Amino acid sequence: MKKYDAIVIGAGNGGLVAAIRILQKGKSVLVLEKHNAPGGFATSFKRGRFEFEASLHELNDFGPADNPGDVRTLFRELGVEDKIDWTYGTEAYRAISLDGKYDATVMLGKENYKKSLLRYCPGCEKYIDNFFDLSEEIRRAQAYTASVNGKTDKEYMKKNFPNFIRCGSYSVNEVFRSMGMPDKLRDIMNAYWCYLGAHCDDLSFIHYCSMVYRYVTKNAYMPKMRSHEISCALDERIRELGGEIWYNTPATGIVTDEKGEITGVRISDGTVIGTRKIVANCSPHVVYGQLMSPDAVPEAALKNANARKFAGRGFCMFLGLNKSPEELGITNHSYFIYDTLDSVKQYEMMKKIETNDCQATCCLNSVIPDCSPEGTTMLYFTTLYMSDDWAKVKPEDYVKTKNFVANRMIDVFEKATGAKIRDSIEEISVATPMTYARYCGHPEGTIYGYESQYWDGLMPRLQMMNEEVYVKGLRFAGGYSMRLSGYSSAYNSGDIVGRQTAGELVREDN
Amino acid sequence: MAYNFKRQIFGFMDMLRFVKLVPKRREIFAETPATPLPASYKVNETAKFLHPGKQFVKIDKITEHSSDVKTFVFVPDGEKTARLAPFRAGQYITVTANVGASRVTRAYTLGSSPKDALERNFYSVTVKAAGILSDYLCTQAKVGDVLEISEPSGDFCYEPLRDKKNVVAVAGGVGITSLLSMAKAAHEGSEDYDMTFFYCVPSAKEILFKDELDAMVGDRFKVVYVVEKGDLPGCEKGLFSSDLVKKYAKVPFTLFMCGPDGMYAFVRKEIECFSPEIKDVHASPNGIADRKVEEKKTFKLTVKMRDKVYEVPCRNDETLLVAMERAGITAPSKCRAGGCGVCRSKLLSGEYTAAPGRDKRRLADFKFGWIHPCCVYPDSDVSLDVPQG
Repeated sequence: MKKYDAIVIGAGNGGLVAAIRILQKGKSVLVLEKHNAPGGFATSFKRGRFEFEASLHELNDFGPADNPGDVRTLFRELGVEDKIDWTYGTEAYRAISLDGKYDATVMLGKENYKKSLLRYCPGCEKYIDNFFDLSEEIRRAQAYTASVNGKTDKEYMKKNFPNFIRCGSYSVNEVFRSMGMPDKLRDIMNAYWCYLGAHCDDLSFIHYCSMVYRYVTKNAYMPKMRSHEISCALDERIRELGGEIWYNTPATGIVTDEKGEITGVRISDGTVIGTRKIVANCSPHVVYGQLMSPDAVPEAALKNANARKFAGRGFCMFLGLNKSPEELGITNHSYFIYDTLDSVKQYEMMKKIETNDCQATCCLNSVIPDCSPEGTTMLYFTTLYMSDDWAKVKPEDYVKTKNFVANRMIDVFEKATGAKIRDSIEEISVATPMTYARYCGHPEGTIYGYESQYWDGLMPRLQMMNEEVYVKGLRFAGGYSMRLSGYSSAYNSGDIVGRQTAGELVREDN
Repeated sequence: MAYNFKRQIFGFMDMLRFVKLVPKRREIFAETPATPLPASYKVNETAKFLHPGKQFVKIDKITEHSSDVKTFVFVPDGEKTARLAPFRAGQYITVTANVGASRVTRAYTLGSSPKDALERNFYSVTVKAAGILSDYLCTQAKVGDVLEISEPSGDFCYEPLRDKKNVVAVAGGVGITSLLSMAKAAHEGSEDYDMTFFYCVPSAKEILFKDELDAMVGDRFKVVYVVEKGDLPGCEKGLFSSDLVKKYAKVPFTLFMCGPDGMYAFVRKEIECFSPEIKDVHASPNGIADRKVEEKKTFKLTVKMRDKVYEVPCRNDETLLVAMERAGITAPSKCRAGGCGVCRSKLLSGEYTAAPGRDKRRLADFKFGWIHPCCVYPDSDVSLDVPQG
């Protein structure tokens, strides 16, 4: 049987990009995917006359062709930018708190972002300007760090990016408090937090601010044919470059030799496919706990995995409605509905099925008007569970529990927005942590990888990524890796480990 | 002037804190025990139980309704499968068997109730001999035989958030099973709706499960036998009609129907007077059959599957999936009705025609050349990259 220079386990966003990066260096790649389609969560599915987006709310850091963000630049380098039809939205979100305190619609673009925030927080210009200043310096510091492949010069950093370093160890709330920002402005600006899945006492400011600033300056991009279009484009590019993807083929084992080096990957029929390098687009918990034989797992890898905390477990409801957004009273693209805009309190409430009324809800028609037939609307509602509460749900209560949460999500949405959707449901589909566990194999149905706790945030992960290669030739892409979760982050992680793996192969072969 | 951030009195203390991020994280790793990681997780175990993929069952009982219609009761084989996956009334399973040199898979709706699976650990399906696998099951399968089946699948189910409290069920012929299961689900309390059940048959002798249906009649369940020819005490003579709905059912209602495609068209026409919305009408999809062609031809179908390549003949009146199965290739499939996407394969070359109205591919699959072989007929030699089944 043919041997491959590298095997990618999992055709998720990170795995697909990593495969292209390795192929671009002329090395052979086989991608193994347990599901029958690419993308992992980046996919779509059909029900009746609707094709639902499975997970993408909007793509961060993409930007227009003449002012590209990092992700567009990456897609350009990968050769997939033009395989996808792009569109974009200019609304950041409408944040509503059920405690009646907030209902704020925030726009994208620096001027409009500021203008919309000032409607709710008059006189707060200077805080927003300071946030922009800080964000810009952080952006430049990150660009410099990437340009030297993480090998930064300490003095250069201190001289050029002192604010970056000074705020680099703090949480979102710590930085905003130090800036003297009024609570109301902070609460509205924090509303994106659920996209990163850690509350703002824990979440690294640098990480959060990078995301917000890139939305604000690069808009919210979407592929016209759902994220499945991006995933298919990446799949096609892999084929063009001579790579292979085997669907319906779960990796069941990683084989190492007596020196602990990678020699192959086992698939479900027992066959071992030879390789020297692995990019695992899955959880280290799965790789070290299930795919490798226990005696081949270095102690440091176990310590690392044991120290981490699983981030949010996913729940999503998809509705196809037989009326137009106007008829239903849906005016926005992206709704963040929280019990409270205090993210710390909200995070606590998200630990239990009974107490979680948080939802991030998107109306796809607001960005892609013809995404469903005329006179119809597609809505998808997402929430996270910050504990393993779904583990307590017995199989016989599963459908009932699903419907309980779905029903409540509809109530909350109608109450918060005034829209009327209940009587117009033509198609409904619900994904629970069990669904995510089934399709992607993540422990407990986690969709956000390891949580961005204060000590385990973006910066230290990036700085330590090389020392975390515990098994030579085995690297991780996707939400569990150094860029944390989210579409852009996953693509970026695939870029990083793909280039590192390709570099290692080139060095070994020369 | 650009903003200067500082949190502590001296900015260098903030810098120091940043520098310590990495040592602090290293320290946390160093202090964490190297205990083995879990081999499984509760949510994943529940997911595996709800969606096991394949299941292996033993035929426990065969009931003969007529020479060509039989009901099979499946129980776990006790080796590879211990407990059957739960399901929602209206769902189907696929059955796979080797028949001669072919490896054949077909979908059958479950006629047993959700509690039969959950509490009594069995499924039942009713099969009418009308094709390669149903002939095999009706003439050769015997009690004790072990079969490979899929997990329960399909969206032809009552959705409490979408559907009305009143359900009108229209069954034609053997198509009764999924609706029988829905009737049982309401009766046993695993689902919550009132049902008026119209059972339409050409003649009274074709009625199946009459005793079971009659035994469920009560406040929430009514059964009306609609017999085209002949007689049956208490039945309605003739065909299904809107008048019968007016006579027996409560409005507004959600319609569920299961039977041949011709029946669906007829019933849709009849209920037009109730002005139903699309969301109020659900039809259980039928498998895709051979197409009629003027001139029979046989093309070459090249199948790349993992690292193997197969060349097999493909008739122009059969789907690519059927051609693969006839040749013994383990191709993936499930609904066989163009919709579920399990057979999704990459077209490498060739011309094809999809069965009219059945091709439910995603938009990007059209764009990037992916097809569903279960609903596609060849118009030339065809080459495919097919995932392992």
